Amino acid sequence: MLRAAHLPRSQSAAYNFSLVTKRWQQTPASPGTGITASTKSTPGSHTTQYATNNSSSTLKTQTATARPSFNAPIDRTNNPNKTTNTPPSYIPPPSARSSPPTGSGSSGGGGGRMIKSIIYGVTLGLTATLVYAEYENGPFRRQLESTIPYSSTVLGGLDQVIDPVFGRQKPFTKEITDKIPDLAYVKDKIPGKEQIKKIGEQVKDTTNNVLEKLPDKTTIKKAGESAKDAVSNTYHKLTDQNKAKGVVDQATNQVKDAVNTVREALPDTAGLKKGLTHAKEQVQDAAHTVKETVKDALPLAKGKSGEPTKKIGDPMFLEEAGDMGVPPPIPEDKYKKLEEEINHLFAPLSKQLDDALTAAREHVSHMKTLIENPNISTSDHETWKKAEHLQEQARTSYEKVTDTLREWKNKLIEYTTTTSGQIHPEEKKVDEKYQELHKQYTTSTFVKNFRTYIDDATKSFQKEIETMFPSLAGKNPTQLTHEDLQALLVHAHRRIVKLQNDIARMRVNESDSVKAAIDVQRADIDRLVEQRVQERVAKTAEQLTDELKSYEKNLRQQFDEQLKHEIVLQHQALTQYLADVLSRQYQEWAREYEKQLDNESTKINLNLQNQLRTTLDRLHAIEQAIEANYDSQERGRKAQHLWIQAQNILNKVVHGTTTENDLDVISKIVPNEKFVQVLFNQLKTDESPITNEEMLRERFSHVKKLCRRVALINDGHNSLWNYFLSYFQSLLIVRQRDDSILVDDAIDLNQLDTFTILNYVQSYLEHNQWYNALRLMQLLTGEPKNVAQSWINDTRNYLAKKQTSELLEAYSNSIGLGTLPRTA
Amino acid sequence: MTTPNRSLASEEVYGEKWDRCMTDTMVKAASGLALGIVFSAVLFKRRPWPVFLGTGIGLGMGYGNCQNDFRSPYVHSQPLTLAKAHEHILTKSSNSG
Repeated sequence: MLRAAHLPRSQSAAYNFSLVTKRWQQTPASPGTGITASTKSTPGSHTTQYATNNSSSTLKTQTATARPSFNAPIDRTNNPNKTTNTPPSYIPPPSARSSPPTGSGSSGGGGGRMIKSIIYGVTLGLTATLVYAEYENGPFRRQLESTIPYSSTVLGGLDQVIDPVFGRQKPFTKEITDKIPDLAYVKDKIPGKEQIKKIGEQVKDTTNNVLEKLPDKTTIKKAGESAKDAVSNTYHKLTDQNKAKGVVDQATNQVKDAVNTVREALPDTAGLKKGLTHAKEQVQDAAHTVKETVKDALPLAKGKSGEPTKKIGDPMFLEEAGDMGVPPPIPEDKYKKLEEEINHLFAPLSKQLDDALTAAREHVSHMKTLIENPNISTSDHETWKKAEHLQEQARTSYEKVTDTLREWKNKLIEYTTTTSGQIHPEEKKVDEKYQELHKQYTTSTFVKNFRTYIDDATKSFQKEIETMFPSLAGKNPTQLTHEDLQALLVHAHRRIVKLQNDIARMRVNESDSVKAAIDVQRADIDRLVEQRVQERVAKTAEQLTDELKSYEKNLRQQFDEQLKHEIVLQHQALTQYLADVLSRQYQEWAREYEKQLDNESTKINLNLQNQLRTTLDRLHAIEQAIEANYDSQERGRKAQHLWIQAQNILNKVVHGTTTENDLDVISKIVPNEKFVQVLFNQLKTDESPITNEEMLRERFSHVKKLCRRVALINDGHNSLWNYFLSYFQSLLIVRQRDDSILVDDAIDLNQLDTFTILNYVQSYLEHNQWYNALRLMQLLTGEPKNVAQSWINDTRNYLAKKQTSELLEAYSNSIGLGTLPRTA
Repeated sequence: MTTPNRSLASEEVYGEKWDRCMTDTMVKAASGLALGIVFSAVLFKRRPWPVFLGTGIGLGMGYGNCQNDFRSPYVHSQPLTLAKAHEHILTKSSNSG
């Protein structure tokens, strides 16, 4: 290897050397690259060594800085010495002088500094926690909000700023709270059971208070009937004992008076009626007031249950409470039928009644006339017959009436039961008529036996007379004597007195009995009235309670309905809410599921695609391998061919007989190789004259001779004398064969001169080291250089050509190496 | 080896220069001699000094000419060839590199 043993002393030498090195650098890449690198590195290293050893910056700067462009591309190898070449003149930047003199603060501000630092630290900590909470937006934040009181407001404020900016939203699914929406308003609106009970009891009390003052109208009727019975009883009692006409009459009068007194004792019907209506009105008022109080007591519900729906305004009172005691509607057809039947019966009945009444009246009047006629006698058969007939008539008619009346009564009872108390209007008339008839009939039956009484009375009188005055019995009234008459008169007077006494006694008895009876009856009546009243009261109370119950039930029903309705609404709202939440949840889960599904599917997809791709790649690779194999075989063949041809060319180049044909053949062989193309172009365009080594050698000897002859001539202005001198010198210097260069590569650049160079080159050439020879030849200076110039060029060209062809051969080798048939 | 139209190889330049130099010098010397002879014969009464002078002048001129010719590489074409060589090298390197 060629290297510089010593530095060149002279500037020019250095320049020359660097030029040479540069030139070597710029020759095409060749096996000599290593040489060049070594030449570069070694001079460089030596340069630096010298520089560092000597520490003479002048030369170093001259070589290093003056020619940076040369040194820069040269340094291919990493030279550890080179690193030290970094000029130490650069002062490294001050390291870490940036620490501020914090600790060097004055001692006076130490305390204040402490406080400041503490404050900063605390604010920093708070800000950090807030920021983290805001960022995390999860359990940490919740915890913070729960522990520190006003942090939620602060964080909420931050949220308002941050959410629009960063587009952050609260998580989609909130936890479904366990709190069920409030149903309390509905519950509040329902009046409690106690309240309802209270109200009901209030109503009951008022109605009871009213009812206590209410007399019954039917009791009046009952009382009247009982009075009638009493009257009839007394009448019967009276008739048993009354034999005489006047007595009977008086008795009847007395009875009548008694009856009247009884009737007066009874309460007044009109007043009763008035009282009844008044009481009824009172009850109604009380009921109304009760209703009002109930209504007011119940609160109104108004739209607290979420959206107020239009359907329901007042859930408690959909409508007015029903009227109290509205009777259930009568089944109309039955009612109509009954009414028709009753009407049907009424006409004949009334007629019958009228007939009976007239008959009875006739009879009574007849009898009355008979009774009042003192001159009636038992022998008047006509009148008696008439009376009997009349009585018969009356009786029959009365029986008829009773029959029809019974029927009527039955029908009426049915009617009243169906109409629940409604009284047929005809009933009153019928009743009146019947009463009158009854009265008349009783009198008629009573007076029916008048004749028999009279007969009996006369018979008894006669018998009495006969017993007492038997003597007088058989006498006619005209035969009676004065004594007889007196006796009779006395008897009669006695009898009369007795009778009068009897009458008086009887009267007293009768009055007593009547009084007693009246008392009894009154008591009875009272008892009855009370009973009836109680019954009625009970019934009305029952009715009222029933009505109240029904009303209450109705109300309750309504309340329940309202409550149900409201609950249904709430339930709907709840279910809707739940459904919403569920649907949202479901949607979110579905979305997540779909996302996961997509992920999985894409993963699988990618997997499959990867597999497919790998297999396809393998397939392609196999195909390519096959093709490459074919290609390589092809190329191998070509390469062989090329190699042959390259060898051919090389030989020709060496021997100097290339022709265009050869080059064209190459281009035909491998039309596609770029490298070969380049080389081929180069070879083709090479205009240098065709030489070969022999020629060059010959020329070299010639050149050498000449160079020796002009060795002293340098670049300056030389005269002919110098030429002569150099020629003389050449004659004197003995040619020295120097093969040392072959052993030791070191060239002392300071001791180079023409003769040594020529010697070296000669030895190189003799050993076929053309490159070294060329390098050395280029070191010639002055006139020898000019003389050798064309030789140098030609040698260079020749060497280049040779190199190109060698490259070609090498390339063909490289191609062909892998494709040689695998034979042993 | 060398075609007549080709530019000379550098080693032959030297020989050719010498040839030229010699011939030129000889020519000049001869012509100087001749002129000297003529002058001496004509003007200077056959004194020998114009001959010598002429010869000397001729020789000197030839010498100077020769010298000048030998110095000429540093004046013209040779540097150009250097440059050409440089270019050649450069193009070669660019082609192959």
